[in-house]
Amino acid sequence: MYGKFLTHMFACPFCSLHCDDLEISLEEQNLTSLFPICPKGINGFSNALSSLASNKKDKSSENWKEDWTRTIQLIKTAHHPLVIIGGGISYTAQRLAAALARQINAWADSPASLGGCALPWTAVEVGLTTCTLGELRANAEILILLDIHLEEDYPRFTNRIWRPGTQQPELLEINSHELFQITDQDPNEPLIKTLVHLRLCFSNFFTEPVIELCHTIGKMLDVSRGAIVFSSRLVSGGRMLTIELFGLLHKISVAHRCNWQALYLPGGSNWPGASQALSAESGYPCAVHFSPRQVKFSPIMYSATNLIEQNAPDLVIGVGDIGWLSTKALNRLRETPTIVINSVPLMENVGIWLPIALPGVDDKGIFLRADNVPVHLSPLIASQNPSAEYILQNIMEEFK
Amino acid sequence: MTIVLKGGQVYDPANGLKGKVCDLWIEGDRIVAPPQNPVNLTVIDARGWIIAPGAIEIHAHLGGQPLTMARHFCLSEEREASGWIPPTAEIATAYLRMGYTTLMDAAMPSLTSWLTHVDLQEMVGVDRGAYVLSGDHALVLEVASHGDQKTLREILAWLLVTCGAYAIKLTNPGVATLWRKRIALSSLNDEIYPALTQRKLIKSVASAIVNLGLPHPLHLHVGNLGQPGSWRNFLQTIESLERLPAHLCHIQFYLYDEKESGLLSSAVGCVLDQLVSHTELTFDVGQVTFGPTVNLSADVQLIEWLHNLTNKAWSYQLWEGEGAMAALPTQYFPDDPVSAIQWATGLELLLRFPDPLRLFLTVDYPNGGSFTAYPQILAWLMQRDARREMLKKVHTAAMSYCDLYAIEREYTLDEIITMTSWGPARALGLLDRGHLGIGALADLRCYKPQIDLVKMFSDPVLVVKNGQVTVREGKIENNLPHGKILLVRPPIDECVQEQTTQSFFRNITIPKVQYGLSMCGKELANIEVVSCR
Repeated sequence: MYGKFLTHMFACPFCSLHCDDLEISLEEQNLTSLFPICPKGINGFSNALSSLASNKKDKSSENWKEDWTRTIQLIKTAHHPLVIIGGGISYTAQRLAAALARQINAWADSPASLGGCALPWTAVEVGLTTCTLGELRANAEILILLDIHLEEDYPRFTNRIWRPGTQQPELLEINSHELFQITDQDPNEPLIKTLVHLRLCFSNFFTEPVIELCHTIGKMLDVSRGAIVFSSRLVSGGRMLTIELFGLLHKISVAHRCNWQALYLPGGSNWPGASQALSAESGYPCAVHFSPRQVKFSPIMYSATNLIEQNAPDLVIGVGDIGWLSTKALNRLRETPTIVINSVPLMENVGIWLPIALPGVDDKGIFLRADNVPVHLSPLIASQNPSAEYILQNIMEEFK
Repeated sequence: MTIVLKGGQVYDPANGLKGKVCDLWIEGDRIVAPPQNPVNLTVIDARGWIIAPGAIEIHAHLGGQPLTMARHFCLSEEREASGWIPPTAEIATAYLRMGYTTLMDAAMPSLTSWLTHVDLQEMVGVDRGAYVLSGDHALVLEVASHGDQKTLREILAWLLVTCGAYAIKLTNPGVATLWRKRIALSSLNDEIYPALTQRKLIKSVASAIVNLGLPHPLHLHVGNLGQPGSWRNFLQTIESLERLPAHLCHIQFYLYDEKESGLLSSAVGCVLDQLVSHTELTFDVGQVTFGPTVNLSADVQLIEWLHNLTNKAWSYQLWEGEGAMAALPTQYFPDDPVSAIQWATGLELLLRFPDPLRLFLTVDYPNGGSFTAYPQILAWLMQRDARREMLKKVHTAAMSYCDLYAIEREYTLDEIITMTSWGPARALGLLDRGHLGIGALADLRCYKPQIDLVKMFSDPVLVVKNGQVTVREGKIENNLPHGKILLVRPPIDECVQEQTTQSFFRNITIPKVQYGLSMCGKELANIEVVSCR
């Protein structure tokens, strides 16, 4: 099936921007070029394609049969299974994973239960608007990036949104670790000046009249439309600070009738899908227990990381990428029966691995972009592995 | 397969049957005349039962990304007692258990319409469809501002087809567009786009829909919802339609006046004559029920107003190229004067409006509360004493500022069936349902008559969808029929559409091939394309 040389426009599965303007060239099954250049995309495609080549050698059909039988057996004998719905699989597969959890009375969790989920909720709860990428382009005069390292996390962020020739907003990058430590920097440098003012504002947040502060900051920023973009990697101190910042920007918006928006950029690809899938299947926004005799909803007690760290589940089924679990939880998986349904294995010697095709590489599928907008991913090459949907449907069939 | 329901009391307002005892024959998915040689006959003894067409939900928020936003507030299991928003599939079965066989989602954003359709596919056991939000769509505003009706028709047709929608919905049109600029929209004459007032947009879209021949006219959420004195803007909106047909949703929320005490009062009396005389219009009530719920609307100005009023957390998302959606958890308390007045105003409207063919029961789920309160609302309409008892339990403001107590009317069962079946079917242009005539879709509900009307309406003894028994004695049967996704596909002039949409797609971050359902090639499963006139 592989052409000698293929060049196509494709959408990328490797970060939550899901750029859909990529020109990809392949020779046999190797990536020869990717345009526009994106280091994350190049790495992602190269690794996916090379692991496909090695999987083919490793996973013979006999292994498959054996692993399938063990999978069904493990699920049959489990009393307290946990299904983790990860990214890197299609939204349809994520819905099926949540439906499987319901069917086998399992705990279920998605990356929404990570501490970071509190941030987008907090952003909206204080009244800041969230928006789509196109809204940023249309509206933002200034962009504050909170703990987002564009080069590393989203190399094409600005080009993706502000195409060449269009005017980009001013970017202010803020690292929450350092926010409180800025004192002696050059006050003429605009970014530092902003940060110093922000710091002043935060430290006086509860002691001075808020509106007064907002006037000060609003005047300083002197914009009518701004946006704040943030990620889940904010540490706890940063989170507290961010929550204060959201509150403050909301006051600015109200006091100055200007418009600040917040956009949460989740770390993993199709994490918004996992969150939406669990919510639509359970009625709750994160970590639930589908067992009828249990408390259904407890985002703290039932988060995948906590459950595994406490050795609560006797079987873990990871659908999609679950590498975001804590190191402690990942180490626990060496001792807990685990089934990993993903395009790559989780770790060496961890449980049963059922390899699946990856949407955007050797499968099609719809992912939700960082802003919840669905994006269709097409396969680059023909698949040698089944889709996640196929595997999940077959498991569910066994337990009907 | 043939089924006969023998000896039931058939209520079929469309065909003039008011409890006539007769046999009802079903073959396949249709009501048929008694066949000469029935094949695989199943006889159901329906003696003593009330038999009526399946109920139809004309306006509720049932799925897609908007409901996920609302679920973000379900951060405690305690909410499950009454304010919880169940999973999509459970919403459908909860409706089905009450005898509802057709449901309409009232607010599908075009950018995420695919997500709405994933949810619609899961809602088995009922037919369902969705209205596409169009009142802040950049293309609609641009074309309407030019006054080019032909192109506007094309754009509306393109939106319907691209998003797999059944109808066009305008939600306080232009409000999110102005919101981006932090400008409040307060009147029909406000300019929402260069050379375009809300008044002009509403009329243009209503007119374009008539010309497209869509089965359901413009579905309109009027501005100034919930504000004291909003009935004036409501009447002006009706006038702005210039006798074009439309469906005005959750209208109870507009029928408030203000008393000197600062409290709301019912303004039903101020609008009743106009509502009655505009026979080209249909309405749904948006009845308020007591308990916790979530306000969810594309009318972002309204939700912000509620946020400022209640100081409650809210959630809000702006979509590129179109409008927005906002959510805010809320609670209606019986001892709160405003909640009590809202509750009483809805019932007053339902009881004073004479024609159940044009005013339908909704709670604008989840805005007014849960749809599971329908049996209780129906009981209040049918039993004067029951509602008076309730009126005594709620805040006295309801008694002082609404005329509910004085109303003697009790709905007949025939009127209840009209309001929940044939009326909405007719308004939606779904003439194959909502009645039990020969050739009609075999969607029906059967009740055992009881003094306890709440129990009777909550637990139909039998519900049939597409000729298949789906609920028996309150229990959902296995292997529910999938039901159909109802949509319209008016013809599109590809050239005009291509030309008009070019600039739109230059300005958003989603290419045309990824927009709406384009990404799945418009190949939806289980669809029924309803014809345009």
